[in-house]
Amino acid sequence: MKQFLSKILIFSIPSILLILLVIWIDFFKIFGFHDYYLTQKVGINREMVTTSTFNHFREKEKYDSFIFGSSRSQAYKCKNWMSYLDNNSKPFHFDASGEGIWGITKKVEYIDKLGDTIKNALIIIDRTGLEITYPRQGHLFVSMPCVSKSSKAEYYLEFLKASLNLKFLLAYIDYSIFEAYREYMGYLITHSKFNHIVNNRNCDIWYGWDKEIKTDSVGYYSKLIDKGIFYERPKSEISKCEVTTKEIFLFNKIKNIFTKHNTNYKIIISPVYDQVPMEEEQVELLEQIFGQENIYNFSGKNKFSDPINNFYETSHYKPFVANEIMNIIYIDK
Amino acid sequence: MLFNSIDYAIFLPIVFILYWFVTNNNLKLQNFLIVAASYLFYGWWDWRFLSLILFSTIVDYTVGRKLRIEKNQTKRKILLWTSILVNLGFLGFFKYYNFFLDNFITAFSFFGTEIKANSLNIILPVGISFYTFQTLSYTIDIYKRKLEPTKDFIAFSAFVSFFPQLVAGPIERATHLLPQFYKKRTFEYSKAVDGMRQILWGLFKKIVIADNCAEFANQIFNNSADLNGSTLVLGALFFTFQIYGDFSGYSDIAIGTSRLFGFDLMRNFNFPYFSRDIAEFWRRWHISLSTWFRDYLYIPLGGSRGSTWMKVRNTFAIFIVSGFWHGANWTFIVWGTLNAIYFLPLLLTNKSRNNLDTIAQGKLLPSIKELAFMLLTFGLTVFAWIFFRADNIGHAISYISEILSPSLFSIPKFAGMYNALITIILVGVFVLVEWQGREGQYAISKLGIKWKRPLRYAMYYAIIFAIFWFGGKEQQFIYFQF
Repeated sequence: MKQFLSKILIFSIPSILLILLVIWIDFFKIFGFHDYYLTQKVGINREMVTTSTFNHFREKEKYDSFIFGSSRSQAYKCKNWMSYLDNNSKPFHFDASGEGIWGITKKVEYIDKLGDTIKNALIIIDRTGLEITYPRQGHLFVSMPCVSKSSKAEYYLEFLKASLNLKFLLAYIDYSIFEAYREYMGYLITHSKFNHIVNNRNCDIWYGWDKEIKTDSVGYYSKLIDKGIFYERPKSEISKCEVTTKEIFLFNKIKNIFTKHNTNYKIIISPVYDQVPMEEEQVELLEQIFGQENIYNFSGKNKFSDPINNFYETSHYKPFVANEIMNIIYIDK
Repeated sequence: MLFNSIDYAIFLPIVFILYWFVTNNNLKLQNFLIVAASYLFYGWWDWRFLSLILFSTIVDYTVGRKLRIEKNQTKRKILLWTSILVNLGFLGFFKYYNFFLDNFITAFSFFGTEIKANSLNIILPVGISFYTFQTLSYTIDIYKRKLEPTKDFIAFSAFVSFFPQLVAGPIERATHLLPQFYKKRTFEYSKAVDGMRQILWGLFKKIVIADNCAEFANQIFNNSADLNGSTLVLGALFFTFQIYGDFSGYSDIAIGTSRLFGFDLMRNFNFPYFSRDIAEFWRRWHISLSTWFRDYLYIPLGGSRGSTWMKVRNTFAIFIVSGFWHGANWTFIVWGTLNAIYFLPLLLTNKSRNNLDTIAQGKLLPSIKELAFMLLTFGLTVFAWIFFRADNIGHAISYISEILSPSLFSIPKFAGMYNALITIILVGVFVLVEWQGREGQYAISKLGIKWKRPLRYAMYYAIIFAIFWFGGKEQQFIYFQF
């Protein structure tokens, strides 16, 4: 037995050292609380940033109003939203990369379980998000265990895998030495001439693209059109976003918590560049569960989704679009 | 708990330490620990279904004890049927209830009678097909007086719930596994090291081969209506390696884990894709199930004795039942029937036991004849897997129709071709490693044994890094659904 255990130990030493090295470097800033975007060159998990920030400041800030959704929700700024809320409201932008309704439900449940208040809520969804009714994998998307209630070991393993990914290591070393972004680095390295501005208390982000567009808007859009990023609409093949029982289950969970907190909530179906309208069954379901007066559908072809300059690229629309939408839902209606 | 999960990576060393260090080699304590660990292992998935295992254990233990003292043949039969009905009753309800109900409704509506009955939303308890068959072997063997019933309830519970093989086999015979729970177990270094190697190879098969192939097999089978014939062939090949990597990988981890605890489980796979005919394939694929059906169904039906008609009937019976065991779907029945049809020429010409040795034994390469038969058998197997994987018979037929169309000669085209190429290279390397190790218990059982330690460790590290770098997205083990 001794021989066996000592052999296992000897064999494991390189692995243990490697794991310790990865923990020490902490590529993705998963240990402790950081100023996440200060010198960030590696793509990090957005949900980890928002959740850690929320956990770190919640007692002091006493957040009571929340914007939920994917990075598309970043068009809605807490500061702008404040003008439609009570003066003493404390908004927080609780988003995640590629967020779906599973993630939104978990965050709503998490806030509720902590005993915090949800006075106001703004949920930004789209067709893609409705299909995400399950926990996601991958270091950019995996939920923190405090929110997902899943295994901590599995969570850290995702980051260990990502840290030892050959392509990532190559990109990281290459960028660290030459400080030059190359195409193959993709989302692994965050690189922009114009950095994002981040509010590290409420997690709003002002994208650096605004500065880039301001400097040379024609050049910015021409480049994206040439690259084929702004494609011709409508798309030829679109799969239907079916209503699922899992989706209904999650919506009901959110609704129950909102009812419990007497939350003033609005659900916005985002304008998307593809101009694909949200399926009628989906809208009806949302209206049935959350009430017609709380659902605002801006999907499909309309004045928000039509102009190319309403978008940074095909995924994200700009804050002035969100401001107009907020005006409609809070004032005009 | 999945073998390829971090939970299991934590669970296994804890149980190992408790088993060898805390129990002080006390047999009773070790068996009790195995039961507790097994129930925790199973309950990690869904604790509610632990009651089924416990009930099945109590019934079979009691029936076994009563069978020993009962002299009256009729009463013995009643006892045996009690065990069969309880075990198959569970299996029938959880696995086949909706299938039979739907088919009855369809059959009656065919004759113009509408029956209103709602199918139930039943969850299939993981591993039910495996542990019910294992416990059945116990009572049947006692009934046939091949086995003495145990007086030790804990040992019997450990036999039924033994976590390495509880949810996906190998389906052990009581005559083989149960006595191991009575014997004092001592730690054997060589056995434990061999177990670790087998676990490592099993993880490679599951995570690198099966999980990567699964991604493309799923993509191609799910979108088969839009894809050309050559792509569909590729899809069938991906599934062929997925199911082998998945299931034999699971068996390797199960056998390897058992060896760490001083147990020997039966071999479940013996390089089946290197078979030269279908009979050989079935001697090498899911051996524990094939031999179970042979011993408890085929032989009681008369086996290969009797008239030609009887032989044919028994062959079809065993293959169809084996197909149906896999799931409540006509696709599995067709898959079983297809294998029976493949087997028939060998049966009728008395050639079913022609290839009992290993292909190209002691040689580097097979002869042209061996290679041709191996490829033919492999092709037939791939064709049958289409039915196994398809959602329904219609799906399988349309899939095959497209393969048999002129689009077979076009270039394969589907999303993620580049990644598929990496998977194909990995499968190629895997087949080569399997080929070189085909005379061992598992592919790397002898590989590097005589190498210097640093080189051998480098090989293990290469496998570990391959798992890390080339591992596919985690998929459930296919056989959990059976």
